[in-house]
Amino acid sequence: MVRFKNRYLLCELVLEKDCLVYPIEQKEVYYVVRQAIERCHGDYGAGVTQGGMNVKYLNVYTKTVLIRVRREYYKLLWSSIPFIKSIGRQKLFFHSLHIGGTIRSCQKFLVKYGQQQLAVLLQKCKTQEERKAVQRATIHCTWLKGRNFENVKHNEDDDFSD
Amino acid sequence: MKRIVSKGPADYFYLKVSLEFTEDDIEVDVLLFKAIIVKALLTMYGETGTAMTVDVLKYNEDRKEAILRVHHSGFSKLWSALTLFGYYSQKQCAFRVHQVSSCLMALAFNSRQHMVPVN
Repeated sequence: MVRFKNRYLLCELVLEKDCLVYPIEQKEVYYVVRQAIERCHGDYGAGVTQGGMNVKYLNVYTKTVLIRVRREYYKLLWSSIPFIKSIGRQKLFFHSLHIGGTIRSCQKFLVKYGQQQLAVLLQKCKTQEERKAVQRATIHCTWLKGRNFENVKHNEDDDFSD
Repeated sequence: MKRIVSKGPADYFYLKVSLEFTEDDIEVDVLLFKAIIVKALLTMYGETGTAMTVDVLKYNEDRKEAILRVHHSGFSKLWSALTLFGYYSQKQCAFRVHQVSSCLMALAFNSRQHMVPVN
């Protein structure tokens, strides 16, 4: 069966000064990644990844990037990503999370990763309101996954043990 | 049934190359020669290309000819980078690869370039 096989690299953008949303366009990310591959792997790397590379998804709120590349050359992309230090004037770096064969597998990973991050956020919460918001979000995730709680009432009295 | 045991690829490959310019009056010393090789690897394969160790074992400054040694993993990369290198500081140049071998002794004699003195 002749088919182009791809790898999807899921990355998180970590900004120097963390702000809620930083306006970045997909073509800026594409250009910066191309430059990094050309610097690390030369004309060969740039030429070989140019055909199949594409920034498939970019979310500036969660700062998630999904880059597609041909399966034979995904290591060239993966090894060049750490050398990116800025996009435009904003200093940032790419934190690579997952490499998957399909977009769906990356989405599944993202769901699990989000749940793990909620647990980390819970520890970092400073005010009571933040804690309640994170706890509500965690319950919502597990409810969707396991459907254990049929009638969940979110009361202020519901106190979860620390 | 024959059983074939392979020793794998040789550790190093040796190349006899010479650098040719269109103009003849350009002098290249051994350091510049090594720098040109590194530049060829840099344009073709980027920074990971320059990471491979290429040794200049012998250099003949008059004919701009050298014997290079490279690890077997970087052999095809080096040869392809030298082949596709065309310009050095706005001057046209080319690398001519005369001989390639996995043992250095084989480069001692070249039947193509050998000239028999005719009396």
